[in-house]
Amino acid sequence: MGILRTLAGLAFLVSIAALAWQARRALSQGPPRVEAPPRGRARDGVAYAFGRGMSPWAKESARLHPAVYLAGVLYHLGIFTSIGVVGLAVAGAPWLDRVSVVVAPLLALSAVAGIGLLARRVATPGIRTVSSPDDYASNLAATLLIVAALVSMASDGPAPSLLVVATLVFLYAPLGKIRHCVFFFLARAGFGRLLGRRGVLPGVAHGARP
Amino acid sequence: MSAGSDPRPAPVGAFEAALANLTDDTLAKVRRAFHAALHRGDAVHLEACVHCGLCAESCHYARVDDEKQSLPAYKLDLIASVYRRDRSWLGRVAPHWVGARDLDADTVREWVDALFGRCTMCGRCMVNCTIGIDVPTLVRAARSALAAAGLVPPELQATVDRALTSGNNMGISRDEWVETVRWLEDELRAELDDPSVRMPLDEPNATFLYTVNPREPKFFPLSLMAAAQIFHQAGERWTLSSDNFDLTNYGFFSGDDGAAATIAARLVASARELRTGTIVLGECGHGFAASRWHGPSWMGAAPDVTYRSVLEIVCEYIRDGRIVLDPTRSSKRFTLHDPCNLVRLGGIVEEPRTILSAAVTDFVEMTPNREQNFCCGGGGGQLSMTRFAKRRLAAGRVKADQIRSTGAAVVASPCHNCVDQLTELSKEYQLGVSVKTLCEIVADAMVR
Repeated sequence: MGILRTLAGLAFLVSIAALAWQARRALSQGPPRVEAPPRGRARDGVAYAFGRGMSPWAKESARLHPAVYLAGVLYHLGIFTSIGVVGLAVAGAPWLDRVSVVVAPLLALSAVAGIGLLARRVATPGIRTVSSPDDYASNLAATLLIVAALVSMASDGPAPSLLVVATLVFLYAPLGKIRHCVFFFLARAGFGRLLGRRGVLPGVAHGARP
Repeated sequence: MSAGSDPRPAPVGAFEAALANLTDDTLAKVRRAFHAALHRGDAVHLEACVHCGLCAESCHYARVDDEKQSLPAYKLDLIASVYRRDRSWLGRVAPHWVGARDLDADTVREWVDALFGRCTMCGRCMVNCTIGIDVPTLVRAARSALAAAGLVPPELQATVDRALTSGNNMGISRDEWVETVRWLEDELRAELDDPSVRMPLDEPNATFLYTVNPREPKFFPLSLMAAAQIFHQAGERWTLSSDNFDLTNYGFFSGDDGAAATIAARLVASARELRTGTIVLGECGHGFAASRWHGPSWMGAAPDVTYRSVLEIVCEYIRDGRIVLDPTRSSKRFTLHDPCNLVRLGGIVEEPRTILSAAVTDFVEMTPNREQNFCCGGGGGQLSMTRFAKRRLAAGRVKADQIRSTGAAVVASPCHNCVDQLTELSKEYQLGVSVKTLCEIVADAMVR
């Protein structure tokens, strides 16, 4: 177990370093635009983008597909929770039953959501069209991580399979679609900043709305 | 009617010949220009798409057909896949695994068809994207790459060229413009029975330089007269320029930054020459966004002038009591079209509503509206690219349905390109509506 813990911990650090390097490279690529004087505040737009703008009623895409929205939220909650479980395993922290009682059902729901999203990708022609093998593999890998965390939660302690899966997922993350764990935040901030400066978004636009 | 049955435009002419026989040199040029067109922060958006496909319903093209090429995620991936091929490790060693593709002849042809012919750069997919990916900016970067290799559809390129050579996109000569302004001034004096009404040309030290879409002097003189009438009633000190009056900038749509900079700089030069610090942009969505938001980047520096939309000015006149409106003059029902580049991408969100609410008694919003509005289908240079006209009108069905459900008799549209498209949609879908600019509606309601 000791070597597996070490490997998972190292893989996590490698992943973080690679993702940080990629983010830095992407952020610094190309010349900066000369910006026009703002009409609204960028920070209001960023606050909207990560606040109200994430709500299902703010986006038509979420309103029209509430089940997909909910599955997406559950899936990502499960992924981050699983990473937390891996963290506990790597740190050798004790497995607490009262934590498992809360976390295990969440992970179970999350795994179902992950499988559901994968099924949707397979079954929907429009999405299949834009999907590459990496899209399927990334979904499977993250779902496997959730399942491994769930199995560990149901055990007396971290299962070796959790650490093996986590190591592989961490190492793959900077290479494929899982990179969006970083680029989501950067792009979302860019979106908020752009429309915040232009005074476009609700609550940021000039003049009160009825 | 369905765009699903719309075949690719028939290959005729030199442009099609060039597309059919793309050389390695041309492909290399497109590739270099694409990477050069990416500015700080753009790469983040190219890396972020998760291919969830939730953007599909946000696009007016994707709403009216079931072709994969109309999906925003597909259009974005046409661009992002090329980026991945060049800039990601797996894209280089295992391109199939991550859906990376070479910028080969087929890809370039698909770029032309999808990024010019199936996108108005309206930004609705960005607003509804789970992540907020700036699709319009990325589409424009790809268009820039095509422009660098001379692969802009010739009708759009001709509009840019006409603006560069004649000073405006309609090819109106200076004499013709000056003569038109003098004629409209006489008409206005006669109509208002007021010899003091002026349409000043080249007056120095005015409060602002007013700029228009050249469609106004050419086809819609009432629109220009309406603005002049409003400025006169408000006691404004304004001027037109006899040299540079065109606020449109089709370099924005073609992706040619050099042309866009030249066109944008002309208005600045005239403002400086006339010693005014403010350029007021008439009712034109892309013209507003081009000068107000993109101009500084194209020109390499923020100019020492302030850009304002005429809607901001008119809104202030109403608020300050400089003009008084009688909304009971018309009993018709009005609705408001939100031009994408003015509203969702421009920030002029509430002003048109304030104005229309003050000018008429029966104003019904479309659903959805404001930053969620649907593009009319005429943006992105579509009106000039006649080869894609069938698709443009098919995609406009979404807007036509919106208009019909309001029960309005008049559609207010603060953009002349949108006026053209909406007028065509009214005929195509038998909406029976008239389309007016906000200045025209305000002038009709103005108490003298």
